[in-house]
Amino acid sequence: MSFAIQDPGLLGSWLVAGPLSALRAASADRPFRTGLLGREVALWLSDDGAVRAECDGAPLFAQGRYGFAWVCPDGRPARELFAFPEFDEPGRRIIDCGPVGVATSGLRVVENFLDMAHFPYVHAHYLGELPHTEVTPYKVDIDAATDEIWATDCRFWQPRSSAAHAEGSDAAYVYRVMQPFCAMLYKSSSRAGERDAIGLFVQPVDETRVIAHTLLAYFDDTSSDAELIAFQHTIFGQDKPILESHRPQLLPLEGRLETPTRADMLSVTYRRWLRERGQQYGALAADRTAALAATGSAA
Amino acid sequence: MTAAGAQSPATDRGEWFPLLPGAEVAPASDVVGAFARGQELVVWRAADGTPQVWENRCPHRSVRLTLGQVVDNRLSCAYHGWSYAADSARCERIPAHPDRTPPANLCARTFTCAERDGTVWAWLGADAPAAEPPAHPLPPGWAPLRTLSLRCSAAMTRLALAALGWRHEGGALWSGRLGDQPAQALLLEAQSELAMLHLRCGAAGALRDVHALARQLRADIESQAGAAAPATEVSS
Amino acid sequence: MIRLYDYPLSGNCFKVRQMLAWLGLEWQPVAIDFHPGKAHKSPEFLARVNPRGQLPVLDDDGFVLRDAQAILVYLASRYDGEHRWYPDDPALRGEITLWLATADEITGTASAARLHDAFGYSLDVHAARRGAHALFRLMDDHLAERASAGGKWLAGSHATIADLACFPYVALAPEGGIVLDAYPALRRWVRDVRHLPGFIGMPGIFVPLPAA
Repeated sequence: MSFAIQDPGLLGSWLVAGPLSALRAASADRPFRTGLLGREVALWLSDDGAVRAECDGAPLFAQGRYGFAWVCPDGRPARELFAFPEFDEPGRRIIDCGPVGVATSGLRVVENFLDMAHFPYVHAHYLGELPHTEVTPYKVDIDAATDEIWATDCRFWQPRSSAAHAEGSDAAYVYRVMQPFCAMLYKSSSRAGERDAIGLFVQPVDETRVIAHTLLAYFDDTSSDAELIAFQHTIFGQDKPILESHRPQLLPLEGRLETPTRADMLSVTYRRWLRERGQQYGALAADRTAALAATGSAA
Repeated sequence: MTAAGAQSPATDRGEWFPLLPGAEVAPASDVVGAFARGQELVVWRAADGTPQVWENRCPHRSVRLTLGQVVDNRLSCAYHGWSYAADSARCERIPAHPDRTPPANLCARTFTCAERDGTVWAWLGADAPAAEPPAHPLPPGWAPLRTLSLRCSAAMTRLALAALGWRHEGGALWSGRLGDQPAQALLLEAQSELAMLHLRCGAAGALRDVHALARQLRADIESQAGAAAPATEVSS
Repeated sequence: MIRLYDYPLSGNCFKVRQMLAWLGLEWQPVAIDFHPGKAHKSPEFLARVNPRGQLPVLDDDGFVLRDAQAILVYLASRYDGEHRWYPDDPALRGEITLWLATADEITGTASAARLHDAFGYSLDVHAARRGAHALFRLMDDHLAERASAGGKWLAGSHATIADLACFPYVALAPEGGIVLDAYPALRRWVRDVRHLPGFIGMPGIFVPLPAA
């Protein structure tokens, strides 16, 4: 085993390592190479289509699912990979928006994905509009069976919530956190009565660099792939300078360096959930958090 | 703590840092990043012109305040629009909850600052600040020229200036010449490998020539200091 | 009708989108899957749209032009009745052309570093960052000298296509691991361009909120 995982938050977890489309072009002699947890991982598909992964020549526990290769670094998965029934639902368009490198902790990327209060500021004219800034109360629960976080009854006024929406509407959102680096959001589709799903699967290259993979599972009869991807890239590109400006980059899980408000209930739950799992990778340890709060040093 | 390049005990207690020329920050509009011994700072002005020097970090989610802007005499963070009042740095508005008053102790972190003789200074250190930053009035007929950035430490810059015939007048102030032209510089220790010189000189001589001489000074200092090319490894 | 082969995260496409906005021109986007699809390198795109395999490409009622800087010159020359964005003065034209060439070098350095960091392109990112720093120091020197004479813009007394051409990949440089800490005059210029009336921005470059 090449990954020395002591982080309780990572033990037994599935980490995304890249799109299966990249593995299809690869072979055992010329594998797809990528970074994971500070190491280089090589991936390819065997003749029977199974995902093969190696680190320093040692095989890694891996699977292909939902269009991506997943690796369990310590080889003992705590549970099955999360359920994603929309992926196989007939009529849905499944679009991989491509890997995007971001210079910050993966936990910061997930927390931003779970946040609505920034819509009128970072995504003005798309997901939000001044002066509609209020975040009304919503519900946050943890599903005991799956240990996943769900936020429901989320509502936010949007001038244009997807490529297929041409007018403003009160969008209903549901958020779900399946793993520390994996989240999903569900929103009203352009097809009446349906929900579109957007999956965010963050690949931790190291503690302060990630590759963010976004997968759409949409009902949409009018937009081209390029248009759907362009919209998603617009949203992600708007978040990027914010994500890359966090100092510290690592997510503080305790202490008083950062102050939440009621609109942050989901992120507060996410941070507590990470703390209770013992997550260290991408997080700021308590003693360093206290030191930073005292000195204000950005180091 | 006497290793070469280490801080002297006097500077451990605190000192004034000449961040930038006051003309770089217009009231109620400009939001400018500045650096002092590695501390990231944000500089702006209230509507009445009072300079504000704060830690460049919003206390909500640690996003840099330099991405934000001045709205209604408050510095508003680009992420969620949290808005902090001039002077007190108190958060007075959280747009996600427009009808609520934010907690009284929710503030951006401030640094004592003062403007003197056309320069905005910030005090960093453990001690309470010395009453005022030092006086370095512009000689009659002189004007600020530009800020030079040196790809080396402030300590190396001091050694190089001395080797090039500049005189240390005390504190941050150095005097010398740009060609025939008398000149002064305020030295800022911005980061460990970034020093800045705020240059000022008289009005005689073509601007083009004196700027060329300023660039030559930079080249001479960096050559003396054996300055490395800019870092291309991305550090946190 | 003006059509633009466009991609939202391309700074070069932004230059044209912004010029079209400043000139008050209507246009239609043709969305190209730049990433991850690399549609701009597809055989069909190379054959029918641009053999260089690059964006943006402008199609103005059948007149097809590639290269962001060339498109800016064309749009300003044809549609800017006030001759503001690309003035007639010979000396100014010379200076603007110099900065249009610099814009191309910025693309080759700062934009390349961003493509490496954000989109995983294989290239010598250290050389790209070094090249960008060298250009940014030059630009900072130039802008500091102009500021001494009371000027804010790269060429002339008001913003021109020189500023627009050089702007986006300077503003986006941190996404390629190139920080602007050492270039205070350049940072000021980025701020000044963002505050021009009618600035539309792009993902990664904020439009200022109304200040009141």
